[in-house]
This record gives sequence, C-alpha cells and structure tokens, in this order.
Amino acid sequence: MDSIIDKETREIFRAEIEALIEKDSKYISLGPDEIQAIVNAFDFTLTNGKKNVRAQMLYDEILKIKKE
Amino acid sequence: MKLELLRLRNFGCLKQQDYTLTDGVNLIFGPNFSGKSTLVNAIFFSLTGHAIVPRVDIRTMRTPKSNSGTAGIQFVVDDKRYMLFRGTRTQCQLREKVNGEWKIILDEERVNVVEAALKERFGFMRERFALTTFLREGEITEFLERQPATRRDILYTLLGIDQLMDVRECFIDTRRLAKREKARIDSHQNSLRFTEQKNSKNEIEKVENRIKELEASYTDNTGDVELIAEWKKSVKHLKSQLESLKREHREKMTGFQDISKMSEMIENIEKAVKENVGIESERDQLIQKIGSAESQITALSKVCDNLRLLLDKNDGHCPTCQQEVERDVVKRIVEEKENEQANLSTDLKEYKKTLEEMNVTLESRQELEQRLQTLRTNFTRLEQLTQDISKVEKELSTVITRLSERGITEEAENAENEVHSNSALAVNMDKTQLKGQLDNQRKRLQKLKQDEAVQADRLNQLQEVNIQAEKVQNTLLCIELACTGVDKTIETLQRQIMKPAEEELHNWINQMELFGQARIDLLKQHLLPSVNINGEDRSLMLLSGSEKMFLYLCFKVALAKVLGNTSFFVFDDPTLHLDDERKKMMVEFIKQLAKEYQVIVTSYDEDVRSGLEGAHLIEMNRVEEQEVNE
Repeated sequence: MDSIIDKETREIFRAEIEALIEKDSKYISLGPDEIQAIVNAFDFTLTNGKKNVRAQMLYDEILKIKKE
Repeated sequence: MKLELLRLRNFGCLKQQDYTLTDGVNLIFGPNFSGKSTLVNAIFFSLTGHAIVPRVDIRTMRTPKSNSGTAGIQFVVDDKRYMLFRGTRTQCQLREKVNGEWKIILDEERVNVVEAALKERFGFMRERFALTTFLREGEITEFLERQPATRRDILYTLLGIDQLMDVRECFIDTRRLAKREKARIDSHQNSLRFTEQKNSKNEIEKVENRIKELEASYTDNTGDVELIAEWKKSVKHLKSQLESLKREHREKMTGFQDISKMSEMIENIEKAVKENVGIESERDQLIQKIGSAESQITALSKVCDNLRLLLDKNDGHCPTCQQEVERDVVKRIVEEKENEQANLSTDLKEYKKTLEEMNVTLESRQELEQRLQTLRTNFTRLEQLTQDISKVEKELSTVITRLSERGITEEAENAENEVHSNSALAVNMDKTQLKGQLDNQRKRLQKLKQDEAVQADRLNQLQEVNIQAEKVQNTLLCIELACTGVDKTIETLQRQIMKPAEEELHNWINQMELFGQARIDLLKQHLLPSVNINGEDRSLMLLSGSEKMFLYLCFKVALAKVLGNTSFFVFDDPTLHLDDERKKMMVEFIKQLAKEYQVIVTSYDEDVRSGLEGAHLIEMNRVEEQEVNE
C-alpha cells in the first residue's frame, strides 16, 4: 500500500508556502530562491527522516541562499 | 484482501483446529467460554503479531501447559494466496503459494523487521487494523475516554501524517536554533553600535594647528635645540619600531616570495579541502552499509543454520506449523541464502577497502585544514603589518623632513649629547609652561587619533555584522514560513482525507436512521468526540450504549473506506446489551456491510443466528465440552 505522503504532499507544501507569502506581508521579502530552499529542506527531511536530519543542517542550507 | 482459513495450534483455550472463512457474513456462534473472542484475537494476532487487547504479553496467549502457541491465517491479495504464521514466541513465517506449492518468503523473529516487511508488502498496520477493521469488547468507551492529543496521534499514524509531524519537529528545532543565532548576532550588533563622532577630524586638525603654534612659540623661547632633540628621539623610536615590524613581516613571509604567492597557496588549499567536503557523511554511510552487511550476513547464516537443522530433523515436520518439510525446496533456499551470503561478503570486503581509503583521504584533508588555518592567520597579520609599516614609514619621513628643513641629516645620530649640554639654556618659567601645554596637546592628539582608528575598526566590524544579521533574519523568516507551511500542509491533508470519511459516515448514519439531522466533524478535537444532532452538539459519551455502538461501527466503516480497507471486518459480539429492535438493526447493518465486505461476527444470541440465516456458521462449544469430546 502506498503511503499517503507522496509527491502530492510536496506540491501541497509548496502551494501552502506560496499562499502564505501572498497573504502575509511579513514574508514579502522572500523570493523564488528562498521558496526553493524551503521546499528542498522539506523534501530532504521527509526523505531522510527525523533521525538523520539535524537542525544545524537545515539552518546552514537555508542560510547559504544567495539573494539575486 | 480476503481471509480464507484460520489455523490454530495451542492458542488460548483452543488446542488444534482449522476454521474456514468465506465471503459475506461469517458467524462465530457459541456460548460463553467457547473461544469466540479467542478466534477474533487469533485473527488479529496472526495479522499483527500483537494481542487485540492492549498491554497483553503475547507469550501468555499459548494454551496452558504448552511451550508455545501458533496462529496462522490464509488470505488472498491480488489473486495471490498467502499463509502467515505467528508464534507466541515472536516467530513469524510468511508463505506464498506458487504453482500449487507453498514457498517460504519470510522467516523472521525480529518484530520490527516483520512489521516493516508486512507493511511494505500488504500495508498491514496494527493501529489501522485496531481502529478500522476490528471491534473488541470495551473498545468504544476506551476510545472515547482518550485525551484529544492521543486521538490526534492515532489519527496522524492512520493517515501517515506522523512523517510530516517529524518534519514539523525538525523545523521547530531549526527555528529554535535560528532564534538563538539571531539573539547572539543582535547582542553582538548592539555591542558594536556607537555614536559616530563626526567632528573628530576637525578636532584633530585643530589640535594639530595648536601644536604647530606651541612648537613655534617653544622654538622662539628655547631655540630649536629641545624640539630637535625630541624629533631625533622620535626618529630613533620610529626606526626601532619599523625594524621590529619588518622583522615580523619577514618571519611571516618565510617560504613565500610575496603575499600574492601566499594568497595563491590559500586558494589552492581551499580548493583541495572543498573537493573533499562531505567525505564524512559518505564515510558514515559506508560504515552503516558495513554494519548492515555484517548483520545481514549474520542473519543469513542463522537462517541457513536453522534450515539445515530442519533438513537434519528425522521426523521431517516443521516445529512451528507441524507441516511436512519440502526437503528439495528447503535445500534450494539454503543454496540461495548461501549465494546471497557470499555476495554480501564480497561487497563487505569492497566496503572495508573503500573505508580505509576514505580514512587516509580524511586525515590528509584535516592536515590541509590546519595548514589553511595557519596561512589565513598569517595572511591577515601580514596585511595588518603592511599597513602599520607604511604608517610608521610615513611618520618617520615627516620627522626626517622636519629635521632636514633645519639642516640636520646625518648628524642626527650624534645630536643627543648636544641636547643635554644646551638644554640648560632653555630653563625658565615660560618654557616649562609651554612644554607642559605642548605635551598635553600631543597626548590629546594621540588619543584622538587612537579613538579615530578604533571607531574606523568598529565601523568595519559593524558593517560585517549588519550583513550577517540580515542573512540570519532572512533565514529565520524562511524557517518560520516553513513551520507554518508544514502546519498548513497537515491541515490540508487531513481535510482532504477526512472530508470524504465524514461524507461516508453521514451516509451510513442516514441509512441507519439513527438520529435526525446528524453532522460529525472528524477534525474537530480529532476524531469522533461529539455529534451535532439537529443543530445541537452532544458528547458521544452521553449517547445510549446502542447509539454509541452504531455510530462507532459506522465511523470504522467510513474510515476504513477512505484509508483503503483490507476488505474485511471482524466484530466481537456487536449485539451485546442491545434490545430486540436494535439487535435487528445491527443484523441489517451487518447484512448491508456484507454486500461489499467480508464480515466476521461473533455472538451467543439465537436471534442474531436466525437473523443471519444463510451466513457461514462456525459453531463453537464450551471448552470443557471440547475436552470431553477429545
């Protein structure tokens, strides 16, 4: 039986964060690079599981985004 | 999925028996203490490896005076027939019927491995069976008494959202880390903030002019002698300072022609270090692979040993299921496992070799990192030294120019003695006052220049910290967005899955005509805490026993349909405590359900038996009667 968590979940997550950026002005400074980094972090955590992902890894990944 | 046969050996109160199961309704009928609930428990146990009643030790489920008990269930999934045996000592064996012969495809004692294998192959999950497929005695009250948080956890496990909850926790940890980092950088930023002294340059200029004036007066008063002596002293001091700085510069530059070569070397080392970044994680993965391969080899060796023991046994029967051992099949399996073991051993050797190579690479990288650290420190210091040397050279040149304006060049070295001999001429009151003022102004100038340098340095640091703070703020914002995004995703997924479940539940409630206009919000307080009847919220705890029973069964059916039910239901005595009218309703409900699913029901009630006439009947006798019959 396939898990309910699949590709669709990632799409939902992306759509939700895009909607939040639209809705909440405090996220207005975030652009496509940031969205992609957040989605990648989500994907990475979902794929590797809580045991294999440390907060520092996610933090460093997002910190190194270079704004265009 | 369809259940076909239940096979028990020394399980609970039942010693040795096969029970055939068919499509539609299967009624397990018998008086109290005849083993009806044991059969329900046996089906649950053979599918999940756990007792249907929580916190029961499975070892106690064997028949008294026997060493262990076994329950096996035969079922069909996607036109393939399987037999799953479970022992009360956690042994598990899964067989598949291929070309009329049973082939062992899993033989394992480790509970976690079995659970993972069955979940992957058939989607078996204990929580899902317990909440959507089976009904046991006392389950409803127990479920309703649970805290909302516990019901939420059950819901998340059922929906597979527990993985998303893990992601949520990771993001929350990251947010905590980002907040800590932001607080640290804010405090650093505050410590570097200062009020910029815009007039410091003007002030320096003023003091310099004042010194010039005082020097002129002092010269008028004393002649140039003392001033020249001071300048000479200053030249000597500056030269010594310059020498010391140049010496340090030479030391730091040892091994390099110039600073650009050093910079080039730093770049090369950085490149080499960068190429080997991530080697630790590769090494960790390799270590995990080695561990996994070693444990697989051990497990395979154990399986081979067990199978060889089975082959060596004289009676030719399996000790777990008592079936005759297919010697050829077992021999073939042994060969396959041995081949697999040999392949794994080869892989293991390769892994170990690669690990050794990686260790060597890692050591050289660490050495390079140390060298890089030293070079970077030297490089920074050299830059500082170059600036300092240029500054001192400039000052020295200024003083030498002043001396040369007064015709003093080479003689400067010998002038010290003259200063002492001539100084007596300059002793008077005005001269002392002027000297004092001159010294004060010079000190003031020095202080102002130092302040200016400190200010410039702090400004540089502050600019760097501001850039860093902006990045951290951006990161924190991203992580906050991610946290909220995960929460929203969980909500959306729940809504997507639970809304159809609610619709299904409402269909069944309406079909049963239990209440008037009843609406249930499964997401509110997480699963079934209350029902809205004709616009009024009522706790399920306050409904009558029969209403609770019907509602709970409808809830199970609805949830099962949405989550992809295994196509059967097992209800242990659902008509218990129901009056005649409600009993009839329950019988109708079961019949209705049996049109779509296989339903296994237990009962001791003759009315239920007659109501379910035509159902496949499994008649049970009291345990004492069974023993007498034997």
